[in-house]
Amino acid sequence: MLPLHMNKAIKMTNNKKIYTPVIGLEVHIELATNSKMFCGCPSNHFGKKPNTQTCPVCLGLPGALPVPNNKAIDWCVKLGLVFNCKINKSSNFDRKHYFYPDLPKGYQISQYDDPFCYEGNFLMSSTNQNIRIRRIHMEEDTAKLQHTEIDGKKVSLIDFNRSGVPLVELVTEPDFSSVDDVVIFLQELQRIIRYLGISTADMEKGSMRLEANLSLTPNGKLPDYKVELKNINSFKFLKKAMLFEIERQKDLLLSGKKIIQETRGWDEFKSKTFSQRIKEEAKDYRYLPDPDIPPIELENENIDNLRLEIPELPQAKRIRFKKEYDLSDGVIDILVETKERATYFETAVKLSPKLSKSIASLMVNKNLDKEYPEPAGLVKKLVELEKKDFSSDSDVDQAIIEVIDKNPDVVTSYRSGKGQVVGYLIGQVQKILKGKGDPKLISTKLLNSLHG
Amino acid sequence: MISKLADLSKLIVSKKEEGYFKKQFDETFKIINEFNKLDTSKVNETYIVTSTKNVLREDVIDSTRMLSQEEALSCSKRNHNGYFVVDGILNEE
Amino acid sequence: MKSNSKNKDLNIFVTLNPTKGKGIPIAVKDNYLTKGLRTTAASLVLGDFIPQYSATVVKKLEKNGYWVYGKTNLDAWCHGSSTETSDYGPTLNPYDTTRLSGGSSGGSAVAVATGIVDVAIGSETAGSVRGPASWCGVVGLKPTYGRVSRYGVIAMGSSLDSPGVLSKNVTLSAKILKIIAGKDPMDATSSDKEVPDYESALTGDIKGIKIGLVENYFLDEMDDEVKKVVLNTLSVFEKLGAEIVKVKTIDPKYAIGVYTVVQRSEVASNLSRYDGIRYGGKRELFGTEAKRRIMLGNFTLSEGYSDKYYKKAQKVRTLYINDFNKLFESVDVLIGPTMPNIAPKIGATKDQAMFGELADVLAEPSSISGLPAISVPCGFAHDLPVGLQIIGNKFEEGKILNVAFAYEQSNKNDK
Repeated sequence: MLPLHMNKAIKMTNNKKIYTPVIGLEVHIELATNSKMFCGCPSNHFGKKPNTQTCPVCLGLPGALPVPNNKAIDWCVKLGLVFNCKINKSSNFDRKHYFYPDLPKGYQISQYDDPFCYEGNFLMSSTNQNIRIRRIHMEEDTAKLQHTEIDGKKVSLIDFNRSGVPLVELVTEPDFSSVDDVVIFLQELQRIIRYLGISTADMEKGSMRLEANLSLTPNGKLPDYKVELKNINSFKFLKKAMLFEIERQKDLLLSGKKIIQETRGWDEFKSKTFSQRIKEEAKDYRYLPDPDIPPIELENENIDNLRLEIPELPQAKRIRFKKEYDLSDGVIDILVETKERATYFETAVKLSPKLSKSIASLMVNKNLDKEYPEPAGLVKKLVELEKKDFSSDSDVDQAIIEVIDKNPDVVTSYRSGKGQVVGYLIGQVQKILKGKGDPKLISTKLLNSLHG
Repeated sequence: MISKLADLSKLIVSKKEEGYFKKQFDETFKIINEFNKLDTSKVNETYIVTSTKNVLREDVIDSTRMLSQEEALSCSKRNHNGYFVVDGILNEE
Repeated sequence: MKSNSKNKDLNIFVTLNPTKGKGIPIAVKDNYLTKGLRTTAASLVLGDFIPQYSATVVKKLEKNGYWVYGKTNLDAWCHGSSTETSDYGPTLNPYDTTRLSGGSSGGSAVAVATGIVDVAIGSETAGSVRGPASWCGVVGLKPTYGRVSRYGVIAMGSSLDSPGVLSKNVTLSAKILKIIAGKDPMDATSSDKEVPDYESALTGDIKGIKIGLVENYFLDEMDDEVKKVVLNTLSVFEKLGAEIVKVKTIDPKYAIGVYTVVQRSEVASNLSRYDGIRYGGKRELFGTEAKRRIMLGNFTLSEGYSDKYYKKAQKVRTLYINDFNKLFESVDVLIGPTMPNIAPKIGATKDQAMFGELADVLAEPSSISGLPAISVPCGFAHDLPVGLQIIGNKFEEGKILNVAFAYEQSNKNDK
């Protein structure tokens, strides 16, 4: 038996065992197309009366057949191009089977073997780390469930307005080891999606949904389990959930316990993650190439055209703004937060190139771009504001009287024809005004006084 | 195997049916397995026999096929305030 | 009314249309959705289903002056070749009421055979139009996959399903095909190939046409009299100036496996939507046959087995397609028996796990390949009708209709 103090020492080293988080992400993005993925119903379902935007297809009626939305596929490919993905020239849709009341056909039309986009990457500019993107594929959204009680009985209400809305799923490899990097990545992803204009990426409305698979490794190897953090609708909560989960798993591992592979949600009220085990049948999705949908073949020309449609994205803008306008990183980050803001800034700068820093400052510190929908309005305001900084009329008058009083000799020489002395007098006035006088105004007023 | 398949298929199969199905499956697979005699190493799978590709729709709203809330719910056994209703499916701990 | 008593005796219709329409009466198989008119697929699951929309085929017929007389009986979900799996009882053969009509479009075949209507709409996955047409002595046309829209037809095997026509003569089949065929923007698998005027192309002139007699479709276990009746047609074709060449295909027996696996897999998938939430009853209401097919299909699609069964089947399917492509390089049409036997007795399907698949062995190769085919009555064996099958290359419905028409006309003149 070991001496007591030795025992303690062993425990200590155990406690110091360093675990590194291994985090992979799955992000679902609802596309902002006009119509749904496989039928012509409107895809904008937010705030609509339940079950008013359905048709035989998205309600899964017998005999109804899907026809894919061309634009949704284009947008999915565009996102893939942004993340440097390889694009499958030939792919198809697959049926993914499981039973759930929000899934009207008993299968979701998704992509399995041949997603539109695969093997991409994203360079984290903060750390220069390369995050691998496993795949970006196209599928359809499910109906929306609401859990409530009717006459004291627990029920689930189903609204099929959301059923069939185009959904893009982006899956990363488990390449994250820092919670902060995860958030940085997701925020940038959200910005990119909005720059592309393919989704509102609004998390509260569920247009962007986050899932993080998190586990801990003591040795850098991929652990044999993962906990899925799901149904979390803000970056803040996801961060809290990940941090909590790292601690929870660490405690379990240190006490020699096994971690159950499961789905967990975030309880903001209790500030902890909780198990979301919903009774599930054996998971076997029985994928089947959807016989209702002929294969999709993407020509190089199509892909090139889509590439041309991609606007300058936040990171490219950051680098360019730094170079062209010499602004601080913090200011640039705020300016490029949205494409609209960045465009506003550059439009304003074009109107008044020398004022670029002031324009940036007004936008970043005073949010004046919100007050002036037109960049030209902001520039006009900026000029006015700069005027406002000049000394007032009466101060100028007072200063002129003072200067004339103190310099009778100079005044006399001016009156005798030495016009060049005016400069000296203006300088004296400015001295009194601490340089705040409007030179034009001083000169006008001074000349009036001298002549008067 | 039958009971596992029944679960996967969301079907209820009685003990009596189980034995019956088992026997029939054996017969069926005996016939199916005949095709293993054919060499398929040089061909691809055909999941669809039309030779078309890229049959897509433009992204426009087609209201002609849309159902009113009343029509959508018309064949359901349970609905409430415009929603379809099922027994509570959320298993809270 | 005479036809009503026939209906009662033979169990032809699941539902008669209570609203009397003005158009030409046409019977429609009960797996086509008809807005406001009950559609059951002959399953208790859909016992009270009143569709919110109509199938494209139904809409086209109505637009062209037809009126849905009633919804005909079928094997539940089309799962069978007898109508014995119908939850509403079998449809009996008008030639011998102790025998079956065949299926799954049995009700449609008998509605025509009894003269209640001249034309009925059926659907075929493999043999479901041709089979009952053969056993009930009517014309049965199964068009190329994708020639006619599947929108609004309750799906069985989505890569195989083909709406078809049963009629008292070839001309009517040609006429109806012209109406129902064509591109449907709501069915991505429907073809945009132009639809010819099939009826005006029925010249009856088949001089010089090359007919391939599929030797190995005359199976060893085949009924001898059926064989004789079918082979008798050869002299008719020769008289008409056609050239008969003997050909061999890949043994049709492997197609049974392909068809069974593909169909069961797609059935399992397609029947997943019946959960009793938005329409219909609960899954408990599925009959034994449907349960068996769903489970087998879920097995052939499941992890670890999908490669061995589903993917293998889809590869063998390619072999058949290639085989037909090659055959059609040298012949215009292929002929053979539609069914290897005559209509069987009631109860024949009991405990026969593969009744339909074995009965339809001569329809399966062309079905899995998406080819058009027609069954035309060619005589009687044991006093029961026999059908001659004419198979064409993709989208060559015009050709098989004309060969069938030529045979029908010359046969008529002989009598």
